[in-house]
Amino acid sequence: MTASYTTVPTITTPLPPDSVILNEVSVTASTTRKKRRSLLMIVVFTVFSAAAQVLLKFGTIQLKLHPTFPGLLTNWPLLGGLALYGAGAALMVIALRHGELSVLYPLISLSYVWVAVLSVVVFGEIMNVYKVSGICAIMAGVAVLGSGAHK
Amino acid sequence: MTTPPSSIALVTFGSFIGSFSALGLKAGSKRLERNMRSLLTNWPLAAGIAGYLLSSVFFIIGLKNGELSILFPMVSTGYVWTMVWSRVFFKEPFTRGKFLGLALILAGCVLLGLGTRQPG
Repeated sequence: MTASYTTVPTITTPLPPDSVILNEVSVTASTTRKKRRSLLMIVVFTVFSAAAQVLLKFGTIQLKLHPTFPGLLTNWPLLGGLALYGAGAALMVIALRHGELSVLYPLISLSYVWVAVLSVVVFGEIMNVYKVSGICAIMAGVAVLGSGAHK
Repeated sequence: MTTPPSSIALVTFGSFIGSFSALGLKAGSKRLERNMRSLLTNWPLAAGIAGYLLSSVFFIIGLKNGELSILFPMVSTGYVWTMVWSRVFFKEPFTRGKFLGLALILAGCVLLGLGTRQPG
């Protein structure tokens, strides 16, 4: 919380105490709003990245053994997947500017849940105990990495 | 559909390349300014983005013959490399939390690998 105050412009002229308090209150409110927005952006990012993976997989299905350049340029699921991936990355960079990394990073591993569900529902892939526990372990690992990143 | 070892190799190689891209992005973010000229001459940023595109080529080729539910989580092996590079190039320390995270990710990948050979 203290870090957010660094964005407040330094007051050079002394102000009456009540206006200082007013100023601080409004700053705290706007940073909370920004943090909440960052949280939402990260969740949207995980949905985007999961959707991008599904599109990429769709694209590879219609990918030939020796793809031609026009063939690649008309492979819209592949291009759409890459574009969605890029949009997601931009969203994440913006979200990381205002939110705390230790809170946002564990949320990123939500994308593993979406991808696991979508690959069963859309592509009929099989789930078993090994896969589920493997995905859970990776999610925990990513969360631990992110939450410890600033210590 | 099962996931052949060649697909796993392609995807993990892709994330190995992707881990270098993260370095480029990090170095590029340090010289980020709000004007078009500096964005276009920011070569570490450009190299980082190009690296990501290259790594996605390997991911896509690998994905063709494998399961998404296996290959997408396997991309997390890239975190392992990223951590090594940030230690080497940016002098970011190894912590106990990072080791725990790494161990969990690697264990998860081994479990996924076992999962490809098992029926549902």
